[in-house]
Amino acid sequence: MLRARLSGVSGLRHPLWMCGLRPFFLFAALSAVLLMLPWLGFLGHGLPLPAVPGGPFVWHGHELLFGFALAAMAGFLLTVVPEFAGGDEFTPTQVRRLAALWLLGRVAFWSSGVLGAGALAVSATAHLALLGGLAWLAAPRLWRDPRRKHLAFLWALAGLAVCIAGFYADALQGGHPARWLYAALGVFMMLIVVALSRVSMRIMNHAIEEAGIVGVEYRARPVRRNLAIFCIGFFTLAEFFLPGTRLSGWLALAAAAALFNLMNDWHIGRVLFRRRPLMLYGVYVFMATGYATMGLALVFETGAAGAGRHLLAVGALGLAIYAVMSIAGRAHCGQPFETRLWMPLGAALLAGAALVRALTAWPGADILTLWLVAGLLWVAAYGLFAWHMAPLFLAARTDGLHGCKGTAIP
Amino acid sequence: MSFLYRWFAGIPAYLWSGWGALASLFLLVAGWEAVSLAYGPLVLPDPAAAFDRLFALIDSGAAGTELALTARRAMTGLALAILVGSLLGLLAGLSLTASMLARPIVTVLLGTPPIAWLVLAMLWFGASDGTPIFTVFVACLPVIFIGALAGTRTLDHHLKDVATVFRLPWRMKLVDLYLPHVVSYLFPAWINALGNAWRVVVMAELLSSADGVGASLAVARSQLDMDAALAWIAAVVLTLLAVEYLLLEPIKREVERWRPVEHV
Amino acid sequence: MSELRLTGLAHAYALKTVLEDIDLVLPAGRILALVGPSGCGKTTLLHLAAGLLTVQTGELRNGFGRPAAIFQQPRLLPWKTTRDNIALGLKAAGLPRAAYRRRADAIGRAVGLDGDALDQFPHQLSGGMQSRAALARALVLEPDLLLMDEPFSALDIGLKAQLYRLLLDHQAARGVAVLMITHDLMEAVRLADSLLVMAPDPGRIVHRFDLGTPAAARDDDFVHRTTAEFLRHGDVRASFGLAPRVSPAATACPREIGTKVGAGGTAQVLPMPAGRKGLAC
Repeated sequence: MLRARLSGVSGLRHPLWMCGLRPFFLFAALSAVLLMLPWLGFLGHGLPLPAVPGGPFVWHGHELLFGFALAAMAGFLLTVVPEFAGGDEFTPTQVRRLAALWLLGRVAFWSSGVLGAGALAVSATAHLALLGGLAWLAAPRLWRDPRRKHLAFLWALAGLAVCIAGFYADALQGGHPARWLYAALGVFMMLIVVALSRVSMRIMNHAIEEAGIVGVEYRARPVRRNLAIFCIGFFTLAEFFLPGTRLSGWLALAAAAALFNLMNDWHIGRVLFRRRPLMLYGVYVFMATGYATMGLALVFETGAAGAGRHLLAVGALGLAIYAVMSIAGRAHCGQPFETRLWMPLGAALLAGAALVRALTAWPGADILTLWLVAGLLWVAAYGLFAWHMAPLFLAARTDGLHGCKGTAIP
Repeated sequence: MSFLYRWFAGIPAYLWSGWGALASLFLLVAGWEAVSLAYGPLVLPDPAAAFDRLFALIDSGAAGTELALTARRAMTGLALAILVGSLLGLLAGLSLTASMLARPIVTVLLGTPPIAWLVLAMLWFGASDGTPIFTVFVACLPVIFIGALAGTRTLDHHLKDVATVFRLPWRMKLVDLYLPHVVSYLFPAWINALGNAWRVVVMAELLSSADGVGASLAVARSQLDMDAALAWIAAVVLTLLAVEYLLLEPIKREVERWRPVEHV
Repeated sequence: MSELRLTGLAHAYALKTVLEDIDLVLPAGRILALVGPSGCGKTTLLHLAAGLLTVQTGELRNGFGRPAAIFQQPRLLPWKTTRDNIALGLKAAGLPRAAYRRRADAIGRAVGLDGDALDQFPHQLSGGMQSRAALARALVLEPDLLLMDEPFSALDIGLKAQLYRLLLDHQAARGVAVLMITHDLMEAVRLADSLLVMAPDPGRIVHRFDLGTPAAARDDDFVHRTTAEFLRHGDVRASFGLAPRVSPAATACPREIGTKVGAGGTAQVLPMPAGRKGLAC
């Protein structure tokens, strides 16, 4: 079955290349699982990880941010840019080139411990070329839009490019590149706030309609969003230049408060408790509590900053990617919204993973066990996703359409 | 009933909307921390030191006592100003001649710095409570007077015509026409005056009293105790913030529900 | 039979005479339209009739017991909900709360305001909704005299038509006497039984027309035709500051009207003051 689906995958006609999100969401889902398993092996049994500059923790962060999350972002942008800004869909050739760059980045980085600086340079080039390619495809369209209201995506691409360039510059000079990973997490948080504001308008208002609620309308207004983005950006800069200071702690608290403030937009009644709205809302809950935890940890000088960071990475980033991939992934493959139980179950597993990972900050907690449990929950969530969604990405559309065209439902 | 229901149902949303204010306050504290980092604790102690001292002051009970004393003085002066200013302003507003007469006098009162009044008050009242109370009274009076004056002067004669044509009895005219309109001018003036009173009373105490928050600030200054000075400043500001956002703002929202909203 | 009778009425603000020698009678159940250019004293006349100004010269006898007014702007109290605004007159008359709210609801529905709109404050309503509320506030009193000062002038034609219908239905059902001011001749022709043309400097009535066809039976065609005929009339043209027509039909009366009553006693074509242009006076 799988073999049948994969046959002819090298040809441009294979459904996998029909739409940008297909290969990249597939990469994201598979890498979420395949990157976590060796990490758990390393944590639990000391199994070796690919030797990279900075050590195993840098490998973990780099791969989940610049492998997993970047793939999801690429798939998202390749699909929504033509939809938001108009124009033809991107061609299978373009999609394939970018996918090849992503794969090259994995191989080069993993082998950099063995092959040395040359592989690192190749990896840097592959990652930057992937971002550059995305910008090359997206920028003209986003710029042509008369109101240029989606330029934020370009700024996010630029921010990530800076982080990647900095990371590899540090790595090549033998420095400790982890700070660039922290900064990249900040950029991803801002990107989520921007992306969810676009996605949530449709999801929420469709859910309102679906629930038959009248007189209520959801509007993602820029006022609160901009404050949140500003605070996150400020904190990210402060953490980069003045790591571990109270100053960055206050800014993290400001970011948390601004994110809680952003939730005001969402408090419009019972529609929030429906499946899709609740998933997206959960992203903000985790982001706000993540920054609050980091802020408190920095201000009161406790060791909980790592727990806060993983509330952001697992809770906010993991859940946001999961939600967007499962909603947009189906819609742009011509499928109606998923009504089966695996989808909310996966979201709940991810929420559980974030909470368990955060519990490691609890005094006297059995950190290793919690790490492993959190990792397994993550693997289960994305395993479910891959099991149900991968066949969709590999198969032709059943509605007779071609490309990325979304179904009427978001 | 519906009023009470609305009031209580609105509390969670109102409190939650406070996160925005909290975000900007955290940014302010971050700015404070940044200055303290750049210039060192001798110039500006960091927020944590000031807050530590503040908690110590609260624990020892000193903060409560001094704040209560200062609040009593500020409120007495403010209450007098509200009473006199509102009444005089309303009366002046009723007569064109009186409002013409009042304007330059109010300008003089507004233009006189509170510190000048403080000097006079110290000569008249010495070190008694009278000095801060009088200073607060004089500082707040013109603001309230102008609010009340504007309230009566701006009453739309179009609406008065409506009241006449629909034969509103005088009680209805008062309750349904004049009062809501005048209150919409008076209330912001009162809130404005409250902030004024709170600032002026601390200044008056600093120079003239032996107790109260202002006096404590004076002590901190004489001992070059930056932490304590900042702790007292934080106490004053936080009290005002709490009164403004937990008490006055909800009342204002309820009173002015009919106004087109500009807030976000 | 009650009536509103003005005899030899004149009015001046400081040194400027705005009304001179006004005679008119409005019997119960009739609709009388005062038309004329802006500033010709129409509003002053209406305010005198409404009791908002004190009569200086002449006599004003108002035999109606329950007057109500609709102003040029909706003039709703901004701090009251639409429902309470509509109920204002009823509350003033001492009706218990439940009763006046029920009646306000009923009339609100009749003019097309739903429950949501009734719960909202005026600033939350569109201009058209506010005008409906103002109309409802007057109609809910079941007045025997309705004074209207260009209440529809700011509305689009669709909304105007709706409100005309509401007003005419109400008028037909209750037999209310209406004194309306307008500078819109079509509006006057559509609604009124009689038209009084006013001229400025000083404001006076220069012409009276009675329309034979009942208001309910007038269609768009009738309104357009009759308005066009009015506009050919010398007094009307002079009053609005239009150049006199030189065609033979210029001084003839519109067909249906026939009677020409010199209500103010000064029905001749007036010479235009030199240099005056447009409608301002």
